[in-house]
Amino acid sequence: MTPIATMRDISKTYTDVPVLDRFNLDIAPAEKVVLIGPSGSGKTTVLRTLMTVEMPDWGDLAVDGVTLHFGDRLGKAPKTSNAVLRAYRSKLGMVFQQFNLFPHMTIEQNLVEAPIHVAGMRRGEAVDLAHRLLAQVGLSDKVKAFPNQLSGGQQQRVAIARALAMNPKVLLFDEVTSALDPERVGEVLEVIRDLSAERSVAMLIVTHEMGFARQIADRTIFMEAGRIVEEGPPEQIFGEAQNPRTRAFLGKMLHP
Amino acid sequence: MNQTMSVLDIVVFVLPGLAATFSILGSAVIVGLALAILAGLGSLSSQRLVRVLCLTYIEVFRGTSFLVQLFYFYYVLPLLGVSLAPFWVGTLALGLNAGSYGAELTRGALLAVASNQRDAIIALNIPRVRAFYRIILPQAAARMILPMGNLLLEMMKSTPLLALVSIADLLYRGQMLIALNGQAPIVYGVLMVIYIAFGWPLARGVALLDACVTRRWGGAHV
Repeated sequence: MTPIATMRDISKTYTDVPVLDRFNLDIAPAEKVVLIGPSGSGKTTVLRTLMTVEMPDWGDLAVDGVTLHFGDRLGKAPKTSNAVLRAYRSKLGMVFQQFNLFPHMTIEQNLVEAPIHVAGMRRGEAVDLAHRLLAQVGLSDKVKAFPNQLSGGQQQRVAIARALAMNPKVLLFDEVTSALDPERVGEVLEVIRDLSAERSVAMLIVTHEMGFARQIADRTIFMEAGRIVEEGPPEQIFGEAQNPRTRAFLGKMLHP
Repeated sequence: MNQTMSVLDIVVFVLPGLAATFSILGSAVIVGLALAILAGLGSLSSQRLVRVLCLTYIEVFRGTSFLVQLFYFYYVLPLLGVSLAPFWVGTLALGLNAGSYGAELTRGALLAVASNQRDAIIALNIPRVRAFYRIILPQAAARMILPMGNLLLEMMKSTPLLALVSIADLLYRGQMLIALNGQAPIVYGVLMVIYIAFGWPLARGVALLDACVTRRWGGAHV
């Protein structure tokens, strides 16, 4: 099957430290891919470059037929036009560790902002959509609240609804439960599980919740030092990992 | 006139000075605010020329004494063929000076917002201009309430310096009265009470506004 998203030879260096070095990844439509690995292994950078929150130094990105070229070591590609970049980004949604809701807008305003001003939806339609999505994440009663009146878990569920409102082909989750109190982690994971069951959206998930990773993944990827060390179905990675580094990492995560 | 004046007489005598002080302060606030926003934005511009111009303005006016700036406008500009009415000398000097400080506040507040909100703006694909005035600017404005309030208070307290270029402000009128009639302790006392009568409510109002915004939007704007 043609992949919905591809990363080809993506390289990214932060102040002389290479984080990703010719990284490659294909995601099939509706596939749920989970990235695991020690901190500093480049998982978050994979998501951030795919979303183009950070521009890759080199390589190609493509989602649903829209391609961005960043050139290679022999030469930079010509600068991508704004229109292409916007078309590309419209295929993706991202949920962040720190929620990143707009603190000066109500929950409803947070949800309708992009549908109205990016997708060109009519206000009434966007409000209906927002209410439907909020019901789906169990927050119908918070429509008029401001983000700081919500718990971390609730804010993160709003952030998921906000990303869904733009109907992305691929949803990126960047350690979305890491900033939450332990008792709030479950409600967010449950929302993601429900989504993955109902929707045909592909997901790329970075998480330290190994139980969740095992449950939700179609494919699990173990990364270290900016490279894929091992990948496969979760039973294989969690049950019978071949690479000693994968086993060492999982040993520490599962039996600390 | 050499006779003891009542507090009421003194207040009535200095009142025209109050009008001069506040009309200059008001117009200087408009000039200063416009400069603060323009130069603050300009100092973050991607256009090198704009950036350099704005940063030069900020550094020159922040880095030199207000009194010297005031004297420059009053004594030197006429030598260069530009004669301004005292009202405009006061407005320009005070406005340009406060604008340079305000520009630094604007710049700092804009930079303080940009980091994680910028990620969300990109992920939601919100167009640059819309993102700026709908997301970045309101949050920056919230951060600016307290420091801008302080700056306004500083401006008000700088206005007595205008008396030195013969602008008939509060202090000027007070000194006139003292020259005529003595009673320095009571005249200066009345002036202080007048400054506090305006300064204190101003400071309280700013603090209240800030508390109100914080309650609504949360500590996230701090």
